[in-house]
Amino acid sequence: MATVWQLVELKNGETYNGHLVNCDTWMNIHLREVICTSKDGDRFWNAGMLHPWLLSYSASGQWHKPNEAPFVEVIDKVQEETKTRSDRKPPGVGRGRGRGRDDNAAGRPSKGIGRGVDDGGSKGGGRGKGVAGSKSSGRGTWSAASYLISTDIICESNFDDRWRPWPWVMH
Amino acid sequence: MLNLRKARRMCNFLLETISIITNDGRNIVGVLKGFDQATNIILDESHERVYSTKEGVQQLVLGLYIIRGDNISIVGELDEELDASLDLSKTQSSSFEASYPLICNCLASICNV
Repeated sequence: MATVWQLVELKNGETYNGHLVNCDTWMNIHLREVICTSKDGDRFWNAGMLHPWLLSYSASGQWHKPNEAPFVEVIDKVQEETKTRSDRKPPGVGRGRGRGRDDNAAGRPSKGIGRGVDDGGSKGGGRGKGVAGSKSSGRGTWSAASYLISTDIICESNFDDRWRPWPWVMH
Repeated sequence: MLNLRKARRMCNFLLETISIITNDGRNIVGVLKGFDQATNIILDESHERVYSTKEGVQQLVLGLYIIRGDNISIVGELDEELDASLDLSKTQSSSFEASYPLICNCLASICNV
């Protein structure tokens, strides 16, 4: 499948790298085979945690991230979500906006944001290849999906092969 | 939201090199390829300039970039001649984050006029 490899940065500093499946006019984004990189990319990298993270849409109308859930549970949720995707209504922009602002106020003003996040992006790219490898080595046919709500997004960038060799070229 | 007057001004920036300061104080420089009524901005050949007081300005290549409008604080045209005459590797500055509250207050008073 010819999809775009896409980086999305959220307001809480996390970076999602994955194949762009779909997006809408609200800039809500659906990614496949996602690698989430935490705000400080280093910590996540060293922990060696190599599982895709999932943003799911709960019944209460809030987007939440089951980040404490074990790997198996996450995968179950992914499959469940894939099944119910067709009958789920698209996320309302009003609710999302409220949460996005909260994140912004609470999490953003901390030290060294610019550099840290960009380091995170580069780490995420490396890990992307790792995930693809583990998938072919008998993990099965799981595919992780992330739905990113638009108002959490700071910026997006797609990488063609020019940008693939990590880390970034410094001038 | 951009009103017609502001949008017209933004049109003057199209295909020019612009400098953007985001809400969290990052500075991104690139060629403006497009914008919309929510000030979402598409930059090409963009790079981020990371300021620090210990070393010169670092430039991180970002490539094609979309910045969501609600994170954008300032958009300004970059004087390319002036910019080329700067030796960024020898420039030192504290980041915008430090002076961000001040900038914000000034902008609020200016932009509402």
